[in-house]
Amino acid sequence: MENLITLDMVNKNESSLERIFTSLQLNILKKRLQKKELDANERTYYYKYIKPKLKAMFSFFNISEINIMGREYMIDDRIAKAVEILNKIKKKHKNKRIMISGSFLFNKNYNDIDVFIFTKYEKEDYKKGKMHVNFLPENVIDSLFFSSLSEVSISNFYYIHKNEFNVELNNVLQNYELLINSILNKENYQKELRDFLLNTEYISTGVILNTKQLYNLRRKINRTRIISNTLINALILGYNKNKLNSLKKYIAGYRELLKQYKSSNLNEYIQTYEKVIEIAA
Amino acid sequence: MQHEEAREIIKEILNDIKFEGHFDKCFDNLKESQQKELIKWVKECKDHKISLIQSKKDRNLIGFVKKFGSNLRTILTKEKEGYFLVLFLDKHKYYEFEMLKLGF
Repeated sequence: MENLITLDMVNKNESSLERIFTSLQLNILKKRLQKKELDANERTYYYKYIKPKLKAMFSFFNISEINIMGREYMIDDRIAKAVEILNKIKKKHKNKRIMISGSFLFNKNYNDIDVFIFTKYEKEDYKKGKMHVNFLPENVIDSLFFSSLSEVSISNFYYIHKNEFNVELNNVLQNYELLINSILNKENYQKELRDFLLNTEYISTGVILNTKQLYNLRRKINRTRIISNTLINALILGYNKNKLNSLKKYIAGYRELLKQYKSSNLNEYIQTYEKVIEIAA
Repeated sequence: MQHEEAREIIKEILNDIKFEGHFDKCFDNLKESQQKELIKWVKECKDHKISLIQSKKDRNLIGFVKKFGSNLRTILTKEKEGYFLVLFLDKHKYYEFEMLKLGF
């Protein structure tokens, strides 16, 4: 809950806060907000006196169980707005796990406010004004996508962050092939590009890019050659030679298809996969 | 155009094709220009003018995909050396489940 407060907010409002907190308590709160280690005494003060007071203050604004991740990436005034939206949605979708993520939190310009509701039952997504409500199955919480999404997010629930994922080679190839296909067909490919960048970064470095990092990276990548080269590097770093040899069967299949179809995407796949095999050899 | 008429036209182009997803409802929701675009695209798939993708689960299965606006997606599947199988039209969420299922 203290992640709704910044050090700047405490400094600016110190004279008013002194009516609620003692100066010792304020100093401990500041130390906590600076992510400095508290000693045993300070920890006792924090949990016994400071946190309950904060909780009571927030209860006036109907704020409870708010989990803010990646606060440093967010625009300050969007946090309050997102909490307000979250509280409104909580009333409509009672007892549901709800998360707000996406460019609304960190970018001056945004198209939608992405709201994710995790539910056991399938439901139709809907749009209301700028708000885009997406219903996702609860098992998504264990996915690489969720780990990325939640790194910069505001939600009404706490979760154990999963950091290790098994990303199958076939899934990476499918993702790459759809991305190239969408680009060559001159369709909107932002979703495919986001998945592609998330997967390739994870398999090659083990790093889970957050939504802001993905947003910035997506704006820089607009050429198939860059994408294909990214895939080549990721596959070589992420999979062993034996695994990569399975690309040979796909190359053969695409060569066969090229006899019947003049599909420019197939040529791109063949060139890329041949390069992977050549470097991995 | 209503979906009944579209189904007939598409069957004439591709012969014995199945329609899946919420085809009827989604087709009726397309703009007239998008409906024409879909039928033209089906013809072009048959004439080998559209780029294809191959299933990673079934190497005898190929597919063609197309997006309509931000929400609707279509998938046309075909046996590699054979007939067209299914024309799927639905919202992007169901398209993603279908793509995973098919191995595209």
